Amino acid sequence: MKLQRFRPIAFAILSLHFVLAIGFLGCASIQMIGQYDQKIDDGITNLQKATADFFTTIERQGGSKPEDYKTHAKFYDNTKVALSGLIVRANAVSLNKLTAKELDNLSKQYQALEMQDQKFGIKQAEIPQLESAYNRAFTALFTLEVAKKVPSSQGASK
Amino acid sequence: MTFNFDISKVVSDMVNASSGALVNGGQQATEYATHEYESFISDIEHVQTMATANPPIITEEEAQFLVNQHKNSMQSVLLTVEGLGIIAVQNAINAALAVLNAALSTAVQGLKFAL
Repeated sequence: MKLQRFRPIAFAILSLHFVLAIGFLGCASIQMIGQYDQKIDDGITNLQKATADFFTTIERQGGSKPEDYKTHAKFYDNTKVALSGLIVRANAVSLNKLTAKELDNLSKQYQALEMQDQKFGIKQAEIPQLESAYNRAFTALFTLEVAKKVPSSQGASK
Repeated sequence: MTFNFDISKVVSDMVNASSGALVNGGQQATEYATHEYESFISDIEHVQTMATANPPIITEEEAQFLVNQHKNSMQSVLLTVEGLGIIAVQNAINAALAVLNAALSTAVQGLKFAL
């Protein structure tokens, strides 16, 4: 008898909990990837411009020789410093592992380029290929950053 | 206060909202990946052409260096594709949660769950 009286109350309490739980979930939005970061976007833009300028200069000169490396050292130093700052910033933001990994990849690309430049120089014929490789890496970074800021109703865009 | 909450309709609306976001995100990721894969293949072919020309335009070492640069950039592309997938899933879940929130707000008039 007592149990029968208890059932409607228990049902009401359970229903209330259900509504509260659903309400809690309904109001919250989940975050599975780091949010868009204007400073990372700006940093990549500056790096892309400096790299495009570097390749254009070498192409206009008809390529470069190992002895030209000393005039390129400033460019490599600047990219190292810029990328180091961006990697630290990307790692400081939670759920931003992919952006940090891409920046790390880009850093390795520059290291290989510097070694090649120092040992053998860069031929004019190599420039379009290098531009393509760097543009691909920059586009990948931009695409991911931009997709993070697009509202969910519109989805990600390039 | 009445609580009008049609679970089957809300679930159906949630599925529609999330599938729309998933399809949209998936399409964008596919378009981006296809474009980059094609460009990568074309670049590798061009490097090969330069290395095997008579006389060669670039040495074998230079060809390997360029291929490595392209491989490195493709790793970034793959990471972005992974990221676009995660964003698509995130958008799909949030779209479903937004529908649920709207349905609850309507059902529980005057009672607002704020976080």
